[in-house]
Amino acid sequence: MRLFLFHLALALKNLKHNKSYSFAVVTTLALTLGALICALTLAFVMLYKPLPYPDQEQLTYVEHQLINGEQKVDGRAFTYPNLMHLYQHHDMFSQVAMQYLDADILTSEPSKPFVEISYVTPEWFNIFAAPMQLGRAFEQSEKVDSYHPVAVLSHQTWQDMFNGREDIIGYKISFAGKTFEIIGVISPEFNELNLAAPGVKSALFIPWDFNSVPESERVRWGNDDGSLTFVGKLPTNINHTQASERLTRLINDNWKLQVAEHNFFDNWAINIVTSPLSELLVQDNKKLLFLLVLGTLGLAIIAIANIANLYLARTVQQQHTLAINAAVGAPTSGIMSMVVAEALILLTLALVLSMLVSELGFNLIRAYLESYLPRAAELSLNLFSVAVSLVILMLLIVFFIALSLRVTNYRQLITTLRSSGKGTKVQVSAKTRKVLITSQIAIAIFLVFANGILFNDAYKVMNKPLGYQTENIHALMMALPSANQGMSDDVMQSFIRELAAHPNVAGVSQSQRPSAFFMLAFTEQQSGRKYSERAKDIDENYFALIGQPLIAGENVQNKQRTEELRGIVVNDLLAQKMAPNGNVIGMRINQSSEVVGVVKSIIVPGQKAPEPRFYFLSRASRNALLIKTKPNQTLTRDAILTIANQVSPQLNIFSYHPIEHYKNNRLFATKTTTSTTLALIIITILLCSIGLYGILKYNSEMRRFEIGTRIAIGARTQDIIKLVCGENVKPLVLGLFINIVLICLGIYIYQDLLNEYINPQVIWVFVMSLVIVSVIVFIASYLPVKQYLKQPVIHCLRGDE
Amino acid sequence: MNEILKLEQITKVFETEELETHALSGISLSIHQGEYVSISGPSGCGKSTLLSIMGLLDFATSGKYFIEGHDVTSLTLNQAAKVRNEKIGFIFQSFNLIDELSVFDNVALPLRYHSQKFSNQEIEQRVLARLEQVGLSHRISHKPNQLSGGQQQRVAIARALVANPSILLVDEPTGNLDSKAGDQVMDLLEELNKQGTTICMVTHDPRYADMARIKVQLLDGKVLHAPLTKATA
Repeated sequence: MRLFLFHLALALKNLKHNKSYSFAVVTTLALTLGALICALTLAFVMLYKPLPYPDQEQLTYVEHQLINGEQKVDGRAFTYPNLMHLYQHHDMFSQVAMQYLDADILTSEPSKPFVEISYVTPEWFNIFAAPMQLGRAFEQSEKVDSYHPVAVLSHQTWQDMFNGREDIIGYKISFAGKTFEIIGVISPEFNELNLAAPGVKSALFIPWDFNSVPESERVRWGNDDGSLTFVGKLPTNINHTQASERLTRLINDNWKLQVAEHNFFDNWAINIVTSPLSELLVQDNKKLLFLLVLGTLGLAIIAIANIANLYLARTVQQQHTLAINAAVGAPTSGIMSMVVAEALILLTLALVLSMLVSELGFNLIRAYLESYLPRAAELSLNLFSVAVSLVILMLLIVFFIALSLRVTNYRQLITTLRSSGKGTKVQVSAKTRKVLITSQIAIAIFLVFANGILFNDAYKVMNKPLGYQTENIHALMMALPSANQGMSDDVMQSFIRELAAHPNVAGVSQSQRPSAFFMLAFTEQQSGRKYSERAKDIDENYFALIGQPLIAGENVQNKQRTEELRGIVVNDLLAQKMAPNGNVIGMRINQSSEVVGVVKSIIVPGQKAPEPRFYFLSRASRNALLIKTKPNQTLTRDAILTIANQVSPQLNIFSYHPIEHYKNNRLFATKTTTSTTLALIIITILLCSIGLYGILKYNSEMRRFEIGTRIAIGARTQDIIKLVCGENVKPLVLGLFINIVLICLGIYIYQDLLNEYINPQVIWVFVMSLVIVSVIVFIASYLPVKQYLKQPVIHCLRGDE
Repeated sequence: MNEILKLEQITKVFETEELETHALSGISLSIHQGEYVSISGPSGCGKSTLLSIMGLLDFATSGKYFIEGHDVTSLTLNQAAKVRNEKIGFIFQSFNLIDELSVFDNVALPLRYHSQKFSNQEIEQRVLARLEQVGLSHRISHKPNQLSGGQQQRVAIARALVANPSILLVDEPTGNLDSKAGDQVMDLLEELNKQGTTICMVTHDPRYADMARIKVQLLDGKVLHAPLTKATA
């Protein structure tokens, strides 16, 4: 032990002298292992870590599927009456809760903040075991149909909006024309899980009865709403297949009775699918997690191969010192402890730093990806991360000891001294070197290729022309005076007139932003064919304002608002779908509408391809507006508020953003993918270049005399370049072959997952990856021998530096 | 007899930041076809440096150097490689055979770097002939590390001869060999000289130096004693 401590102290001293070596090893390992630990912890939290709620294995998410006449899923959201029917008539869950997510302006507060609001039934607090900081949660007094106007605040809202005031209980807040008394504040430890929008944290909790679904919509059996969610505790003796079947019967039978008189829903049905809550949260993220773990693992392997190679060169460099130690009586174990001491110090240091790197990664994920990764908030250095780090440390130590044993042969050490440089030199075996080179090349090609595909895909989506303008256009959403009361036609129309008259304004359209659509069903009267397509309500100024070209027929006209028959405009894709020749003008839709025009389709930011869509005339009271300002002019929120207050005191702004803002939001995931994959490509190229250069430099140093001999007997510069580059063609071809096999295997196994990426461009990306790695290989082959070619050969033969 | 090498006032200075070492000072020397020249002297007298310059492995600081009448004083590295390949055969103290290549391929190496492209058949004929000459035609598929030191040096001699060079430059050929193997190698060199091969050998062993017909002695980078050759006469 004392000897080992002595060796540790000696190793520390040696490492201080070899700063660049120590720095290279520690930073490379810390960065790549940090990323790996981060990805593995994220995968663990998302896939295996139990949800932080009681009886979490029983927590069940219920999906409501609307099945259309073609027996395809038309929508995956609840209709209000079906949700209520399920809540009131289920007979298998031990506990159930409903939640409706919305947002509104707190009119009682001077800053008029816009906040996320969850309307929940009292059981919601029990199911998720929300601990209270102050006051109480909802109880029987807040059960459905009790209409008790109270509110519970999230801890953050209490702190941010009310400065954590102690007398908050009993304080009254107002929104949508109603006043609610605060009865409680949730504890900061609570980890809220929002089923409708994972990652969104509610600021306020209001009893279910006050949800913002208008009374008229609460009885519509065919209109689904993605903000309606249902969660229950399923007893362990019922499995999900049984539960799905029983609930489908419960809901579908009743629904069919309710919609029997609507011909539209002939052959339609409701299907209920239950799944563990934990699975629901992972569904869409499995691919991301898979890629993340694969990417970071690949980088870690490249880094370890690089380090292994540096380490081997260092061990070989130490042979003389080791030989002297052996000669003066150091036993085998002593020699081994000398060899391992340095590795142990470097690996431990790298592991500690890698934990800091992963903590930084957790912070970045929490900050930027929380809305995409619902459980990101639970990410932190936990027992799992520490265990993973220790396992990696142990594996690396075993790996490096095994490497040392390959290089350092105790018996040979004595020979090293005896031959004093004239006999055989200790070398890393050619086989080990070839395995290291081939593995580096194979992984590098794969990583550049995989990231290249993702980058290419995301880049194309990001730069796809949208087919409409975004410059100088803002989307304005006005707050409705109260939840169940619409905006008056006259107020809205005079507000629009006043806005349009503002000197900075070029145009106003009574429509939502270009990327917002909702599903709407209709029947084409002549053929009786039913469609369920994306739709948007617009006015006559819309297409001109955003620059979406009309390619046939006419525009919608505002004056038709009062008429029986109104015009609708379809896009070219829907026109093709409805009539093979695209001639749809004059087609009657749902008795009250007629197709009057065809517009060119647009791309919604973040989507790969346009979809069939149609546009119909908005109501005169529609509260969504698009405002286009004149070039270099702006219209502030305050200016709009002033105009609004002049028109009517009940007018309030719900939201006001440039449409670029929505475009950027929609492109966030694509942009993140583009920059992450580009960064990964660059890191891969850098790591691979450093690694290959290191190993090939070592290689050429080992072969210095051979190269010198070849030059001495007449080899020219090009002969030597041909030789060293040629030797690496074999590992390159082998790396290429391994990749082709792996990619074919991957496509075969994960066909569903990878299908969207398979297209002819993949071949080009693969060729490009191969070219990039080949160039790296050839440069890394040439650079180390360059020194031998630029000076008289005697230096090479003598072993001069 | 034709003049193979001619050195005129060759000097070699090694410079470091603090020190300037004159390894060779004004060496003039000629070697003619068929001669067997030994260069000897104590350690550090400059004999290996002189041999490196003669073999174009290194360049002189000043002076003139001719091979077969051509001025080779200031060639590019690639031009020097071509001259080495075609005119000079090297034999090193540590053999400098390539472990990964067989005996045959080691010997064939100079032909593969030759400006004249040889067919496989020609290469085989020439390699086998040279291996026959050094008594190793039965070892063509062996790797160098499967041979004894003496055998390795004989392979190196075959390699030096295969491109029919004008001169063999030999650096301490017996330095890594036991006395028996050393004697065999020296006998082989003598035999080659008798067959017409021009040899210039560096050795510090007076016994072997005496085997050469012309003996040049160096001391502190200068020629201490050189018998008259046709060039210096």
